[in-house]
Amino acid sequence: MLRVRLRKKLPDFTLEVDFEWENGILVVFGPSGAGKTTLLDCLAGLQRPDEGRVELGGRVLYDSERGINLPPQKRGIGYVFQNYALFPHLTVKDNVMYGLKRRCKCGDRRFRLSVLEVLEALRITHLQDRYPAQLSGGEQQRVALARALMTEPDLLLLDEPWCALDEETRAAVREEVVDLQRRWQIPFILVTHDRGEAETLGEMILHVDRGKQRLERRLARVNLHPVEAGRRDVWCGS
Amino acid sequence: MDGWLPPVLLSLRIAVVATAVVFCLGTAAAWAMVKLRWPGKQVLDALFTLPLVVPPTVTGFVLLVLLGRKGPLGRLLGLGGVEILFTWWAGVIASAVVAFPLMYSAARAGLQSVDETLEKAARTLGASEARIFFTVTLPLAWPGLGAGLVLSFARALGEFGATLMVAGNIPGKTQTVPTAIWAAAEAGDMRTAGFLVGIMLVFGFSAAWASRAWSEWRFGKHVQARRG
Repeated sequence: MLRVRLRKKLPDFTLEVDFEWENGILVVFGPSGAGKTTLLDCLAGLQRPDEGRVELGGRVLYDSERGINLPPQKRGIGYVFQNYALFPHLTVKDNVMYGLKRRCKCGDRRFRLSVLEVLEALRITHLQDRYPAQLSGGEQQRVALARALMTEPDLLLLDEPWCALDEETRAAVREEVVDLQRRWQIPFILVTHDRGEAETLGEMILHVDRGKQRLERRLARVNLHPVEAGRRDVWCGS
Repeated sequence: MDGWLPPVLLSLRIAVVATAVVFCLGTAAAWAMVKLRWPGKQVLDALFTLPLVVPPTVTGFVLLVLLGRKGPLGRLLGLGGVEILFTWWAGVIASAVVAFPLMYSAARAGLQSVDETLEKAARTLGASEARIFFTVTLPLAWPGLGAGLVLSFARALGEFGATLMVAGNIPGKTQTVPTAIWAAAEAGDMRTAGFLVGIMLVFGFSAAWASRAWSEWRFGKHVQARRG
């Protein structure tokens, strides 16, 4: 369970969100400059909110009242960046394995999947020895997903994950993300400014526009269950 | 034409030690300048590049005052019974101070070229700040750092003005190749001077050639990787 309540003052407006999310894909939707990436950064610990509280699976990650602010290293949150941020000097394999060291040291946590299984799940096993610059956009994204999932996060953040992809690849990758979420059974938070994409993917849509939020609960994903598409405009206010 | 070997060995020794010091200090200073936010940055940035724009004799004079028996650093060292002026360590300090700006600005450019998102990504993957520095920042900034290393070594090897003022030109003790060339030419010993000049030219050419070949090899690897 993810519980988020936070406020952050930005140059032009104040971002305010308050929501809970369990397991599934939550889409954060809004125009450019609406504070979507800031929200993800605050969750990941890369930016510090002004006040509020973030709780993930019973662990308090941030609490302004109690002065708690865990560094990104200790949050257990995976982050797929907009431009994927793959390490250009490392091979696909080294990129994917980069986050493993930390978990190995702790040793208190069992891996649900082996390295090979993650590579297989994302169909990048054959790319292991290549460098990021040698990959197509879709492949780069799968590597970024594998790298983030390899650390066994409790929450995965995806920032406009298919900005750089062509329409055909996008459709395939969307399905893949939905499928991955089912297999991993952890909450995904996905940022987009594309209305169609938000409607296709999200089980819940968090509208963010210049700081204001509105929640829209969707009963099912449009593409997977077309029969239920009629029910998609059920609103559940914030 | 005798006594050409001691200055060559001493010049190399001074340049190697000074470059090692400058590599660490210059990289650390550049890192603090690029990655951290603190007051007075601009002033210090200008101060760091100062030895590059003033004549070496000015640097030498300042060092002479600082390290002299009555200077603040000289007094401190004197308490421990250490006298630095007119020893080869003074040559190391003079070379390091003069070479520092080259290392610092090359390292700063190299570090600035590293995409910050990569460091953020490493953070979300659980890497400590030290691990991020050594596995992400340093390898990606390496072209800049390598250039700084070559430039500062060359500068340290050729240092003359400041060295002459703080280390002197004592044959067999503080005489480096540049000061030996000057002394030999002054004394009309053109053969010794010419021989030492030849050695410096060979050094300089090999360094330039090696750094070119090295960067080409690295760049070639990179380009190949890009083309797939």
